[in-house]
Amino acid sequence: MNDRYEFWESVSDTGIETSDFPDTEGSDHLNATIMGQLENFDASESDPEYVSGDPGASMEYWEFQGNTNRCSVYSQKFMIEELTGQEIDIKDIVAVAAENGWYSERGGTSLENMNKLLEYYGVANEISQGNTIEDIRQCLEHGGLVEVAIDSDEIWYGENDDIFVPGDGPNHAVEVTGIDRSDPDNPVVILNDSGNPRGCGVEIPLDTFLDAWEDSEYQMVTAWKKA
Amino acid sequence: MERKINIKDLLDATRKWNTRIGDFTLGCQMPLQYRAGMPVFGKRNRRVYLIIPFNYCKITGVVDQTEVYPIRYTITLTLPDGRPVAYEDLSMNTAFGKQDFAKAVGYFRHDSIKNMKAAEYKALEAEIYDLYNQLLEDLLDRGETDAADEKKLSKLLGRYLPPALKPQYRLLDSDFYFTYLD
Repeated sequence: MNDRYEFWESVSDTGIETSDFPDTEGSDHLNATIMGQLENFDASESDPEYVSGDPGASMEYWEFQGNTNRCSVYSQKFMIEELTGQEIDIKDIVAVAAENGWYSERGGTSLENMNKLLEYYGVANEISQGNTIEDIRQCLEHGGLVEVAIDSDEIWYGENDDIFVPGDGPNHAVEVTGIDRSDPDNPVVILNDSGNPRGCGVEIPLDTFLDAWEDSEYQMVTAWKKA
Repeated sequence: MERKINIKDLLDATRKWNTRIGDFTLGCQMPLQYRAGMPVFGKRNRRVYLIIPFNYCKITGVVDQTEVYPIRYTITLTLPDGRPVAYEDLSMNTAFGKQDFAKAVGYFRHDSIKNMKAAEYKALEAEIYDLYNQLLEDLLDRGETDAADEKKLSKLLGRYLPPALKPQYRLLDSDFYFTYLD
């Protein structure tokens, strides 16, 4: 490890003590949260004419991040692998992010750095705020991929009045892989959510997604294959 | 026409990653999950200041067992213009030398808000923001408040803030702490 990597680790190395993450399967705790209640995309149940993006294909790249702060690292990894065909070891991409100061194990990634790994791996991209769902739709329909910053509490625990935190703000990065309007009364946004053990192609009601996305001022990273 | 102070807008602005004032970028590499907490405020060298603390809470999924992590970053603004004058990572501040930023310091919901639902907590938050706005206008010599308003803010903040964060507030600004949080 080079000096810079060791420096970043040393300034934040006050000793990890993280709470246990819920079991991934069959846990009452997990099922009690909304994570266990969300549906996952099933191409056989949707009308491709009304689906933006190719969520089915993107699902192949999803992984669970476990009890880490690597959400943006994983989201970018999914996008890089799908767009370039490269297979990337998570340890390698984490090392790149940490060495360059874009990420730390203790803290995670900042909003400003949510596209740095895409740049590093040679993927064309753009990062911006003030976007709309129409911007996401257009990117997906032109073969691009999307990463967004959201308030995950609104998606994972939003319906539980007893579980909330002070203040507002984004706290998680996810990949948006599709928008499904097969049921026009219940449109859903499809995510690869590395923070949810069942987050592979997870479907979120559009309104819920927009509320969660609002907290980042509709921040978005779009990525596409270089011509 | 003077723009009235709106503390909520100021706090929201700090998380707009592309908000730049000169060469200063608000947000300043803070990890994604850090959120603005209730600021400390006062007057120094004839300027009204606001120190906005940033910490995060990690929901575990168990009611009243959301982990509260220490304040790690601060952004200082001067008012009325909201100009940022300082950004700090408290892990580099010797006053916080004994703080373990990787460990939770307490749980939410704390005792004074047990059984309070999300909507009620938001209403409490809004009431606190209103008081902040009034007291800041007073400090700017643009409004009038009295001891009763200060007492009210003290009472509401005492209820709102996770007690585990209070020692850090004392280190951030002892004047504010002894006025409103002691």
